[in-house]
Amino acid sequence: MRKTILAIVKKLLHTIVLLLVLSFVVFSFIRLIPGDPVRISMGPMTPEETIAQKRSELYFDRSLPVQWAHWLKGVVTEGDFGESLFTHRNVAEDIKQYLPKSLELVFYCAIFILIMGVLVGTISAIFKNSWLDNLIRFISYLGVCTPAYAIGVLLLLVFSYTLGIFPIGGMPNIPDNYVRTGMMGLDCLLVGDFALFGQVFKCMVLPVLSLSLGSIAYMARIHRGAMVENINADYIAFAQVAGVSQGKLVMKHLMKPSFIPTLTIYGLQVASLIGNAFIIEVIFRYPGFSQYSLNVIQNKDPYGIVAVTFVFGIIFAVVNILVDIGVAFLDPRIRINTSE
Amino acid sequence: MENKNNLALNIENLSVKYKVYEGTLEVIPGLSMHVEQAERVGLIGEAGCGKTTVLKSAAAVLHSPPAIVRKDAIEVCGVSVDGKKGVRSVRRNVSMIFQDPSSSLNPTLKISTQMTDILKSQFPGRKKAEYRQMMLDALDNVSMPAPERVLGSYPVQLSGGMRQRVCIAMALMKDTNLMLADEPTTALDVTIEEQILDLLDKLVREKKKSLVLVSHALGAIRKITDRVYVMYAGNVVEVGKTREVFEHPRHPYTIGLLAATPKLTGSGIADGIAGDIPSYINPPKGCRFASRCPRCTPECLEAPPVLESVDGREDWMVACHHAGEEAMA
Repeated sequence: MRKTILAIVKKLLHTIVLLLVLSFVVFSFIRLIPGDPVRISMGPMTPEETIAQKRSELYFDRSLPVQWAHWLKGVVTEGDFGESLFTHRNVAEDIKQYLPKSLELVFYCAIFILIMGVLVGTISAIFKNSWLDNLIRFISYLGVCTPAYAIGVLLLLVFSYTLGIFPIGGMPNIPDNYVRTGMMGLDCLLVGDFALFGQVFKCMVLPVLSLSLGSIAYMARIHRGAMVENINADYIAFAQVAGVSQGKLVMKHLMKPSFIPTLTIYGLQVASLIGNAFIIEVIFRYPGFSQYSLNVIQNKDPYGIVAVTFVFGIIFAVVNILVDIGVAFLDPRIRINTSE
Repeated sequence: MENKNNLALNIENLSVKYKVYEGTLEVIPGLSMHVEQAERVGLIGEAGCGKTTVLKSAAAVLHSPPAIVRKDAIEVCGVSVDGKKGVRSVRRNVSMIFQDPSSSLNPTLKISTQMTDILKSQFPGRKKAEYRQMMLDALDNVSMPAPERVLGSYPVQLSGGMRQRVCIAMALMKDTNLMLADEPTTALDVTIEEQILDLLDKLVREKKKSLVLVSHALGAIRKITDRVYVMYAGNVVEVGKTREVFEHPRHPYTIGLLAATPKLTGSGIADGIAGDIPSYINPPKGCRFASRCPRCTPECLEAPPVLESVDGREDWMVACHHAGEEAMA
């Protein structure tokens, strides 16, 4: 157990180094991009002195390493990510406002993907090569090769425009005094306003669906493959002859080893959701972090871009660590090898 | 075979085929064998001759499809293995030990978990402590050192010999009539092999179980079993009392197989039998051993030989057109 914790700590240290390197690389990029971000932000009519003063305030008149070190100090000591030239307030506040909304979207997707992917994959494996398996396979291939935005537009067309079941985009307004975590649905639940939660939920259905379908299809394929392969394993036949009941055989003895490759893929899929959310948030006019990211990138907002990249890096790293821990939890072979 | 219901295992005319891209693999063309109560039967033959397939069909774990299985009967303790009822009866009456202990235990579950799951379905509704005691007894049964530690381990933390002992302990946890052991020692080293086989022999004798032992360790077959089936390319080519078959083998394949065993007193490594098992796709229409047989005549290439009694005896059969002839060099 101590060794396992040690391995996790080691992993965390690796991740921190990685994030430092990442932030420096991104920092140098924003200095390399042509054009003056301060000038862009303040407009062509602003006098040169005001611009110069702003530049000096933001450490743009210093060398790159100094600017980076100043920024890093702010982040580590006060959680200060610098001032956004797009929203004209501290980037940390922007993150606080927009990130939870995206995380909420991704969180619902992650749960939906896990349940549906494993469920569909398991059904497929149990009824291997039946018409049901073939149908699932066909739909899966469609799902894997259709981009999320195409699915999003299609769903909007069918369920919002034609059938009118779901709203066509946007989110209901959350009163300011509701805000606890920044996650819209969760805040409604915490306050106890179930009617508003219902509205939020209704608005979330189509974004979650369009963001998840591809990943579900992919997960289902992987999970089916792992299960079908393991059905032929000696230990399944052995457990079967030794008298393990059929339910336990499938749900435990077959499911647990089959879940190892599925979990690895799951981690990658969840991490990539953040990237896919860019387009989905635009299509559904969802006021999330990806919308914000697009805006800062389009406006060449230096501190905004660095913060956005940094946050994405952290999310990827965290998901990665969680997956590694999960896999080690499932597979004693990995756990025992890493701790010895 | 006076009364079939008294047989621990009865296989009649089993045929197993696989459809593959190149054609149809006729792995087992038509095989019959039986095991009486408390009888120990050996099954020998070179790798790839279908021994494992026979055992798997008897234990109802042969995957079909892809295997295409036809048979007149497979009965365990007088009950056919077909259908749900049959499978339930097989699960009650048959235990099986697999070839490779490193792949026959679930890598992701603790030994205690795997054993508890067996016990729970065999003896439902007992207390946790009772199950634990049963597991410890089972491990004690197979002379396992440090059983407490083994229970808390994952398979990767155990040595090959320990894993096979665990497998035997698990196979013995339910009180079955018939034990199928598929090369239980092939994956182990020689000193462990001896221990495991002695253990198996002792337990089977004590509990008066029937045993089918598949092994390449011919010495062990000779020591442990009463009767032996010699298989070649999916066919039984010779069957008889182990002692008699080993002393006076009649089928040229049996002769070659026994001669291929290196002996401490002999001169160096034996030669073995030249050639390979024929392809299972479009197998020869005559005797499957013909291409490697020193006694081969045109007749052998035309018609497959059937099992016939040796010297009019019912307990010794050979499938060879030239069984009566003395061995040629």
